[in-house]
Amino acid sequence: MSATNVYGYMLTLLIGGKLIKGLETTGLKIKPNFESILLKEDEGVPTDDFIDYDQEMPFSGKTIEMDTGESTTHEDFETIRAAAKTGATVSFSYGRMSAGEKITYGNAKITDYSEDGGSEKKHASFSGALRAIKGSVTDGTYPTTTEEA
Amino acid sequence: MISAAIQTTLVGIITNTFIAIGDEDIQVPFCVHQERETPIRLKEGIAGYAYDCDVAIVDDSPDDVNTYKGSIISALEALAGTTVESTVINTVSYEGDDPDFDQESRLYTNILRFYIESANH
Repeated sequence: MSATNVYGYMLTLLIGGKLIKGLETTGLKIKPNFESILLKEDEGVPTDDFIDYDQEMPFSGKTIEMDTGESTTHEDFETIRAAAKTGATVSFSYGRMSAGEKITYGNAKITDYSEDGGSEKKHASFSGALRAIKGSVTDGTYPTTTEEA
Repeated sequence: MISAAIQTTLVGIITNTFIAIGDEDIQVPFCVHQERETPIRLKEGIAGYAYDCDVAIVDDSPDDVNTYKGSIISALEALAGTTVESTVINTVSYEGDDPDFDQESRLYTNILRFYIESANH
């Protein structure tokens, strides 16, 4: 059985079920949280008890405004900028957006957002991060489960 | 092709304009340009192409080299937002120059650097 190469461009992030215009990079960081327990019965060797996990998804891209006709399928840096200022809860999907592929989806807060523009005739850049709301994250497959996200 | 678009633009300023390399016994003034392409890759696919473009001006008069420099900068920056030789040019940015004098040939040169983004090849 041959292996399947998963290239960087395949891993993407949807916000509110929409593509992010100009999106260039995405990331995923999962940090399990443990509580160290040391009982008499452990005879001096502590054990790590799993509590929950934190999930963060950084993203960055170029400042390209979506076309008016793309508002139903896309968000862009300006709509994310606006959402970040309201502390809104957004739904997200992360993974390979191809039929049958594994994704993780749920609700999140935009915990970080920034833009960086120079003086050249080049695109500026934006970056930010989503932090998943604990208990809202589900692993599934695209696209059926994203309809629920 | 971005090279064709630039060639079409520059040949109106300096008749002896060449892509990449000039004729061996070319008369001055002459101009040689070269473009290095990098695709602009977004998650949705290739959104365009970025070019680092070098334009070399060669002449026996430093004043004329300077005059050509101004004309070429104006002409190439004016390409932003236009379509030339079927190439949709989004942005053109002059990024500096590298003037020099060749002792052997007694010719003045100046290499102009541009950053160009196009929507297609």
